[in-house]
Amino acid sequence: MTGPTASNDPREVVLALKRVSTSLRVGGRLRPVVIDVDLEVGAGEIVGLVGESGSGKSMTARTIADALPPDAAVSGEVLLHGENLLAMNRRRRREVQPSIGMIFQDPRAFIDPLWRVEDHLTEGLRVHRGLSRTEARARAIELLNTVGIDQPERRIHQYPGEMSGGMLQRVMIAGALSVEPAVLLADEATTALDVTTQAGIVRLLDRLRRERGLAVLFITHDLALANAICDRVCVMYAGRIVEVRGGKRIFDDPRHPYTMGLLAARPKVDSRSQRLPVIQGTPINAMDAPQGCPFHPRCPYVLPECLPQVPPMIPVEGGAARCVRAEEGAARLSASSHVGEQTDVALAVSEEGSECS
Amino acid sequence: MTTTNSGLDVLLEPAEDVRHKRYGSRLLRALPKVVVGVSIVVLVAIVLCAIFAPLLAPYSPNAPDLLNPYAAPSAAHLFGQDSAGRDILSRLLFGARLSLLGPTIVILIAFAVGVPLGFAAAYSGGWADIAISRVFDLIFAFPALLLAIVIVATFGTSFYSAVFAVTVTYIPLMGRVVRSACLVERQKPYVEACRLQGYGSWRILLLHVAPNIGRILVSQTTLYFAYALLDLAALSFLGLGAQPPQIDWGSMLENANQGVFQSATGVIFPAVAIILLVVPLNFVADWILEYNRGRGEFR
Repeated sequence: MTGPTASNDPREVVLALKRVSTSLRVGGRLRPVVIDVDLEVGAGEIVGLVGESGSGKSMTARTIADALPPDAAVSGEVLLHGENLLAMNRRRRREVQPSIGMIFQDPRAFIDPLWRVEDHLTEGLRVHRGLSRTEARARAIELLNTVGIDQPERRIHQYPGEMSGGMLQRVMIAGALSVEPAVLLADEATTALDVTTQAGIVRLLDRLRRERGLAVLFITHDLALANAICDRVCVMYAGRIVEVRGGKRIFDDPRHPYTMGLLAARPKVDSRSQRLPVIQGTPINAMDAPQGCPFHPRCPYVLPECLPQVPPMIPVEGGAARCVRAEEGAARLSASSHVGEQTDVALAVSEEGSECS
Repeated sequence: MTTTNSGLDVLLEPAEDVRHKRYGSRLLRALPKVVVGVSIVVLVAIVLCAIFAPLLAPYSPNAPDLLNPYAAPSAAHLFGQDSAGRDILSRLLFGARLSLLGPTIVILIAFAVGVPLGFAAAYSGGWADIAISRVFDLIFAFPALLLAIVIVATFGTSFYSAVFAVTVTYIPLMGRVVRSACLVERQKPYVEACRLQGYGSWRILLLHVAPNIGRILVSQTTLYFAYALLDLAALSFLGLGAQPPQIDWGSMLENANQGVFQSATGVIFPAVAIILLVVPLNFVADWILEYNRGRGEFR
């Protein structure tokens, strides 16, 4: 069993995706939803996956967790502790499944409404670990303590309908942790919660990865949130990762025009005068991506080089960006821009950057 | 139906005072509960009548009194007498036994066969689903009563061949309900979450999906019990079900039908008995579906 023996060495790569592409069958044709995604999550690391709806972030998680429709086509490698999940036989794949925990946006829908919290939490322990009812109950109470639920002895007797959304999210996390997965995929796990509850869940995830060496793939559309808790943030657009940056760099010094646009489009407390800047055009799915850089129709800094082919990932400080002008940075880009009205977008970004640092 | 309306109101959940205004009185709002309560009391009473018929019946149900055919209700014969002068009340009480036994057998067998088939169809998908569903369709394509008549004609007229015939038509009914409920249920996120936790499909089916569709299943089964009772009564009315000296309400209707112009009591009382069983069953079936709605989801 490769799963639960994760050490706390931050450099140990638990989960790695190599050139993973996923296509779904839509109306008899294969349509790409994830294209050439490379990703690494180390033990004790939180990696953010950020993008709009349809950008492929959830599909990436589903590819890892084997939660795709049966007729989906996947290529590339998904490595868990170096072992390719996609090349495994069914039996081995089932054995490995408990090593991958997944939590979702809406815990109420993802927990059987007729099962009491205790039964929900102990099911995995009894199925996968062969614990007795009493042992499993003790573990369940421990788990509820771990995820910060008061009076666990009382709570385990409750039904999901008797708990609040934030508390259920903690229960779902406890359930995912019960079998000690090596990787936790958090698919918009905090999106449906109010800000205070969200902060609590985020702190919990942060504590878990530090204490348990859990590798977390944190999927969200909230760039600021991702930036706040992630060691690295990957921005996805049209099925591809367009920028990967470590630390706070994605916030301070974005190198892909799409990331810049996302940052500029956030509401700011201090400037209430003008309308929120928006990225021109509408977000697209991978299947509708044009030739060349998928972002070029919406990009204010587009060059002729952007059109013939998808740009490679160009290494920049602390990461890489899929843009031919990745080395230039927001300030220089906006200075060189020939689309006048877009300039303030980039400026807003650079202002933002200086504020934060 | 009253109970359905109350269920909808819970869903829409207007503020308490608004509800007061709209319905005027507490009495009206309590009505669904009263209806269900009365329904249950009636059903229990009928079952008790069937069980204790020998103690309750004032006469032997088959004892003729040929001097008093079609006698009107009197102090000696509360519900009157039929074409052979037999006591209608006694026959009703004894008739309750077969009238209840028939649908009970039908439902037990249809449940035992139809439910696993429905689960199998929904869960296997592919060719097994197609095979099972087409066989169901085939049975559906035949008018139920006609199919029953064919079966009875083949196996000879008796109470049990009528029961068998009705059972055959109820297996696909049960199967289909289970199949569609199961298909809906397994699309739900929590089932997916279970799969992602690596639980086997049998475990998910038996411990997660089955309990969650249980409410629909119990409600439908209750309803089908009432339908099966009606179908069996219809077969008996046609002379294809219970044979003398067996008595059920359907055969009582058939017997009284010929003399309906001499005395209507022989028709009215069995008909009322059937209604008293079928209508409360409908209310109870509705209530099962509504009452448990809160569990888990809204509680």
